[in-house]
Amino acid sequence: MSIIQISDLRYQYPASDFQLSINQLSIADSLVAIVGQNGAGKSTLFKLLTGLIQPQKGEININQQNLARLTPEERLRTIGIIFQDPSSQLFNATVEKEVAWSLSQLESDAELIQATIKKALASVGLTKLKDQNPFDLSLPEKKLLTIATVLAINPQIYLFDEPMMSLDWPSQRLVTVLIQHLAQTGHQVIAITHDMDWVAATFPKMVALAAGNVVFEGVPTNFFSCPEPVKKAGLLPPRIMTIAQEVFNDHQVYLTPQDYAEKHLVH
Amino acid sequence: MANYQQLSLNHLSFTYQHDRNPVLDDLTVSVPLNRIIGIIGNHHAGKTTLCRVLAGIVPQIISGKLTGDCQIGDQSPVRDWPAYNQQTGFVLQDPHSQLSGLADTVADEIAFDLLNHGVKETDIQQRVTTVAAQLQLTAQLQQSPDSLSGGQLQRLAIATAIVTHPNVLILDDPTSEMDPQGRRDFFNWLKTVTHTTIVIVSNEIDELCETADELWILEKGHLVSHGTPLQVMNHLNPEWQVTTPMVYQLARLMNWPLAIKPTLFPVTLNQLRRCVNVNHSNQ
Amino acid sequence: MDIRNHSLQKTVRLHWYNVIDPVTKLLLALFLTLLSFQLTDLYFEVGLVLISLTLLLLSRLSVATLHAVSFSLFLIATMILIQGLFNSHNTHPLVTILSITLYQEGVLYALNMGTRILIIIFSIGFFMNTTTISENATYLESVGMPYNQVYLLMSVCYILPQIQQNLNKIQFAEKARGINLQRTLIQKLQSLLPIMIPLIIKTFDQSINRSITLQLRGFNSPERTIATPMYHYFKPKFNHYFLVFMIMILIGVKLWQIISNFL
Repeated sequence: MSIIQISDLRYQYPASDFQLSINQLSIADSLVAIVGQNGAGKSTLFKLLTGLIQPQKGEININQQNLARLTPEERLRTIGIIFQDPSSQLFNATVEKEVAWSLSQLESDAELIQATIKKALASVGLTKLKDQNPFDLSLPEKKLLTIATVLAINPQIYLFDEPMMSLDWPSQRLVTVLIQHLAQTGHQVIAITHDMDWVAATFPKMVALAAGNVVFEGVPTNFFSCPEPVKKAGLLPPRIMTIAQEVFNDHQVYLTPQDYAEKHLVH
Repeated sequence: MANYQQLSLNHLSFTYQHDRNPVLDDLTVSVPLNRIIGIIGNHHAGKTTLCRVLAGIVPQIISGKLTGDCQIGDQSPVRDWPAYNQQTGFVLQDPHSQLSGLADTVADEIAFDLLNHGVKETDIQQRVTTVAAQLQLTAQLQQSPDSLSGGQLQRLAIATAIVTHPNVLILDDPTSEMDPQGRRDFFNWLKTVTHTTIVIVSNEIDELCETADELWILEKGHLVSHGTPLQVMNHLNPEWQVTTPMVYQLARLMNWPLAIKPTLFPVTLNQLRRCVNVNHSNQ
Repeated sequence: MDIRNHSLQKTVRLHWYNVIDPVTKLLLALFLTLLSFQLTDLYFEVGLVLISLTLLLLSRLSVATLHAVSFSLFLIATMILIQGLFNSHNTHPLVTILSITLYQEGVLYALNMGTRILIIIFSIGFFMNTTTISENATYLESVGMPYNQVYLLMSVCYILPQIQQNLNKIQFAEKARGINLQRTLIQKLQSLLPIMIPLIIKTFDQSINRSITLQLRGFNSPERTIATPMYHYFKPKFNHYFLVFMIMILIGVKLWQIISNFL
């Protein structure tokens, strides 16, 4: 389990008045969602967490190690990044080679590589498509493939940018199961998302951003229990809460329909 | 005799050039005009291709083998192109490539279609203003399209499609880059559109059930189910792997069937409200 | 309310370069370039550099131009060094630093070439900085060019920033996958592929999508309202005829020089 510590972080794009400004934030749970509306600073924080761009001020430490000082190898083994748009990174002739390329940046043992690829492809359900050209895959399949390229490396931390976006329902379920499995096996998963239903159902911890600042960190139940910060962050409560409010005028916190049923069927 | 008051597909199949398997396979369905049709399905279902057929992109611009018939009102995208094209608005999955690239401002980008159709300048001013207000882009009118966020770009793409007052509006996953608030605003706006046949592909099953009159499920190129959201959601086949709206999930868990038809469970807030009232008053 | 960009000109101050039409600017750039190749006298060349530099400085400087200028200055410096040392006509020493001698002939030759490069950069920079893609498109359409041809011409201009955008995204993504671990030269060359392949495919995809939507949006419709120019230009016809005439003279002189060599 890793601890990510962000202190006194400032980042501003050239020629823009938007500033990401985080004084103190520590991410120490295995499943953490980062939420916020468009322009809240989610993507900027994502980019900074990749360690590929540096903040103008402050630092990000992972287990007391400055992210900026990691060597490329260390960085690859520490943080795996799954981007929003898979078409920005696929280039190999087959699905299998795509996964192999990532791994061959770190490993040279051919047997080990083969075995790892097999496992990675199996866990995203792409084994059957291993000889296909990545460009012939559908968008959800491409996204699953980019996840497999990271799974093969098996980093400590998985950083997802809008993983649910452009996935169909079976792939969404697959990714959710995968993320939960990763968290259970000692990895840390951080997902940037604006899917509140998914956050409510899947994530025990969340961080909310608004206008470049952290406006909430903690458990989703607390976040959704007061309408003010939710509104301030430009977000909506989980749909089940909207249903309860509109149909029953019930303003309690519910995370999922199951949650609602448990609270009501007992009585 | 052909019915000119409906959108109808008749044994429609389509295979892309250089491709062996049909992407759409024998689709037959008809819906009255001016309804909202929601299309759902998983990948490789043929959703985007169906949008392209309805917009006339295939086989007019992207070639392939089209058999069967597609008729919308008194026109067919295949036979009556380009007249049909004039009355159709289309929003692509990727809003970035929807834009002309030659406009300095959002206002000019929206005006592009109107200029192409030879609309008078005074009308252009007025229509651009109206559409921008509908899609909450008024503040951005003088900005460069490059400066917009993903969600704003999608709204701009929709604005360019509806500014010509199309009879048919085809939307391929138009909310993928919008945040929750933007998405809710979009579907609220969609409900207010009148005199337009709208075909919308989306993963937002809850919103589709609230707004669509008709739901079609595509699965590997076949139309496996169609009807009202209530009917379609209550008769799902687990093999299709389609999700259900949260209202429906809740009603199933709580066992709140519809009062008038106890075999069916509600899929919209209003249906839920009605059956809960009945259930409560029975207790 | 006037919301389209006609109102923009009223609010934004008109600059002197706004009254020169894009074609005149382009012809001027061409004329200056051809003239610099015609001249052999270094003083005249320097004069031309100053003229084109003045044009550039009186308009707007963009970061891209500064980059281009700094790169060409670096190029010119290397040229002076190489030519000054190794030009085949080198006979008269110019300076000797630490027993390395630079020769007059080579340095002069390099300076001549250098001034030409600067003239091209400055005058093209002037054109690029003072017009926008949409102004060019509007002007070309207003003088009678069919819109689909205008579009074809302009698409070359806007595809470049689009490629740049894609490139940034792809480089970032591939860096995240560990592309910067490559060590040997061959590995480094191989690592171009992960950038180039997605770049080409993505740009190609976007272009196809864009061409589809353009057709759907009726860009080649016969009813299209012909655009009116964005600004009121100063004597565009006269400028074009005059500059074309001057360019023809320059080309004529060059041709005559070539032919007379054979006579």
